[in-house]
Amino acid sequence: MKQLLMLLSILLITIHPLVASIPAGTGGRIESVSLQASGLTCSMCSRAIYKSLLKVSSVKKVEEDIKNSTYTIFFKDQAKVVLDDLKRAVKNAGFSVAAIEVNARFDHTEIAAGAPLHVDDLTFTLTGPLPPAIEGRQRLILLGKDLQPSGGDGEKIYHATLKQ
Amino acid sequence: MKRLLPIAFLALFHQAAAAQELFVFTEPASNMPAKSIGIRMNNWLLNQGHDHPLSYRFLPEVMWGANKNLMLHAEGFLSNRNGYLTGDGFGLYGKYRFYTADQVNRHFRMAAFGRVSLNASPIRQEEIDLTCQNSGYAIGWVATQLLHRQAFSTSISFVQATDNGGGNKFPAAATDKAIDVSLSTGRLILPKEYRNYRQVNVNFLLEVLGQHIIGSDKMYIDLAPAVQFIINSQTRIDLGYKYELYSNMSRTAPNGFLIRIEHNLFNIL
Repeated sequence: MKQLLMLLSILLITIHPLVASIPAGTGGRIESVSLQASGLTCSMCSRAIYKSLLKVSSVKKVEEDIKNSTYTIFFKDQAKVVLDDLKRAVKNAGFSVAAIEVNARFDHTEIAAGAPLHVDDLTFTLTGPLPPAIEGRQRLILLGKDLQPSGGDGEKIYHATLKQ
Repeated sequence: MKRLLPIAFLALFHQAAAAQELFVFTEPASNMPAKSIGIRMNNWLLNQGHDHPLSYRFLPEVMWGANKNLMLHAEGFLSNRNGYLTGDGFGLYGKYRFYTADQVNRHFRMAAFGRVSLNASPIRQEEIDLTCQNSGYAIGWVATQLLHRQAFSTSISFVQATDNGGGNKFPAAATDKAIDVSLSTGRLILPKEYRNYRQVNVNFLLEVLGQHIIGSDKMYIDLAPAVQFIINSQTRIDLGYKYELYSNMSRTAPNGFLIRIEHNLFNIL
């Protein structure tokens, strides 16, 4: 019995780090999305975008930086974040999207270039110089022409890099 | 003096600190946001000469952003030509943005536009004015460049006048076709730095408006400076003055003030 308890203890100590961490690619949770719009300078145009973003069903709050045409978007609990909805809102206001940054929080997550990384319902592949693992708050900068995902009608995969 | 005025205005704009494309006498290539409504109250106070009373024209206007590329306006034409405010007609205006090149704090855009007007007032001038005096239609093209705090815009349109309503025929001796052209610039003066949507924006705008009657040597050129206040990033107050620089055609009231109040309701539809 004593030997069995010792064996169980050794086993628990051995697997503890694995239990504490999330396996590679399991992912994180979106805290906010920062979006920079293009094609405007005036506050009336900025307000049109602000109002349009607020109309997106998943959006809880928008913080605007008029000077830099940037909007930090926070989402309702349990809401499904669809980046295309945010882009559409900006375009409906009459403007374009210059940049998108997804701010997400990760538990210890191993990452690798080209491997899928899940953040809530979104899937990313990362490029650029990458650490072997990420943890805590991270900023994923979308890449590619018009910030469009690949994947067509199947699973959409956004290409991104980590902002160091 | 007439030659000095445009130079003085250009010098003023050159020295100004900062402008935008919300022009007062013309429309830019950009549209209002989709699913939004704008309401305008256009008040014209025009000088008809020493022996005539001031002409007052009131044009209420509703604007609708149908989608991100298409916007539509409907406007009424009222005037005091009978000594009291009379309804003269109405017009419809549509603009389709077909080219967009956006960058941060700048853009280049092009749009096609059209206007149809019905008017029942007597025709007393050679100038063709679809915004208050003539029935007819116009089709045109506009291009706008925004560069940070400065905006430039140009437009050209073909204008066809028809007989006015109420038995007011287009004069047989006059020509019913014209080309309208415009050159506009605007500069954002205040605020120097944006902090919130409650800051009052001040824009200075300067526009050159011209018309050439096709098939003749008749033309006019107007200079139209304006100052614009944007309140709460939602309400516009425009104060403009239209001044005839040159004309060799008959015009009943070429000079006068435009006072406009516009309120926008974003994303209400």
